[in-house]
Amino acid sequence: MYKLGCVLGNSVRTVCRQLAVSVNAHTTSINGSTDLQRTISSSAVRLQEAEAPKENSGKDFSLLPPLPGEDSALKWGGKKFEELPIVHIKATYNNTHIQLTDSEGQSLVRTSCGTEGFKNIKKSTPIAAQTAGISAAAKATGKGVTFVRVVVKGIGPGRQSAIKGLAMGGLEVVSITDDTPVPHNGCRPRKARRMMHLYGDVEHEAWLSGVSHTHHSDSVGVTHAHLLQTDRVSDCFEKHHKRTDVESSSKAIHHFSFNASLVPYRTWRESGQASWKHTTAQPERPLPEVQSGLELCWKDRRQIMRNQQKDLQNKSPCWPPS
Amino acid sequence: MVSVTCIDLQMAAFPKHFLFSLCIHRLLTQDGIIDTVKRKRYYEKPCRERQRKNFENCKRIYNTEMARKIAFISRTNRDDPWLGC
Repeated sequence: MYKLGCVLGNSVRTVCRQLAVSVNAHTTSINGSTDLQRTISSSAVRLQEAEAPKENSGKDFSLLPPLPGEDSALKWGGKKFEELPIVHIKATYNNTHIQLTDSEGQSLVRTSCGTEGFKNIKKSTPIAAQTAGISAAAKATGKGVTFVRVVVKGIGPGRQSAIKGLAMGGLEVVSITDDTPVPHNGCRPRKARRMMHLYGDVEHEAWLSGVSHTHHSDSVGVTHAHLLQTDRVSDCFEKHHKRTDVESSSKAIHHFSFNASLVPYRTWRESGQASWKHTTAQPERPLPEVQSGLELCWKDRRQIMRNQQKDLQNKSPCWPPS
Repeated sequence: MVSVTCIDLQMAAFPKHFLFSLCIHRLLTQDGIIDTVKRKRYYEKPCRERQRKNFENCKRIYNTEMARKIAFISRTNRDDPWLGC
């Protein structure tokens, strides 16, 4: 079942892929049981019993949800499939938004990684998405919602963990639909990025993102790359000069003296391989509190590595930096 | 249509939403949607696109031929293992 939404002036088509693998049939018709803790196999048997007089003999569950037109014995909490509330999960590369609406589209609950207290780079982690899912589920259960169908949009780090958070928070996921917009060559996207790798190798972003999974790739722009893109010394110096601490200012001057020797240098775009290492100081990002059971994502591990490298550098302030 | 077999009894140990998301991810990957979305994030110049398509075609041919060769060589129950000699 495909849902086409054409935007005027745009040839982007959103194809809604209804892949509802809904098995948890809360049937109240024949058996009258209200057991929620069900394995897939037993519920499949029950589903077969419920639909014995109808079609689907031998078919245990289907990828398509019960359509609005046809009658189906599948009910969740007394509601038909089309009356269930929908959780829209928008998983972008930098954030994850979760919004719970009823079947008409009226918004009930709205959370995101930002509303949960995460900032900047921490928002683009699966842990943040899971936290947002848990809080959304808690608010939803407070409003009396139990069964829910999920619509996921976009590929991002929080795509799967947001659903996990919803389930952990107490909501029952009945079906998952994917609504990621796929243009059939509509608008021209932005140009391919070329960016600095952590250790100074210039790599092509587009090639990287095509090969590896998004949340595992190193395609996130390094935060201090913008400092190095400017050829002018004054920019670098101004950014360091704003520090007020004595120690940090001495460090800044120390770092600045390193950079001074690198000017004039070829811009990183022109150089094929970066032959120098940059020692610009960046604001230290505090390590996230590691909750038990949650593992560090690659961004946290990278920050730990950076902190360790900085400790090593601070111990031996000499030129040339090793 | 997916039919439940005895293998699914083992999968019942996993939470349901996890199985759903695995299933949907597998289907989307097989349809090539996830690759398309990743590739369309940034513009791919036509010259690069042609190179990539050629490369993927050649890689596909190589992979199928190699799989055929391995399947042939790994056959053990042959009527005449020294055919031609």
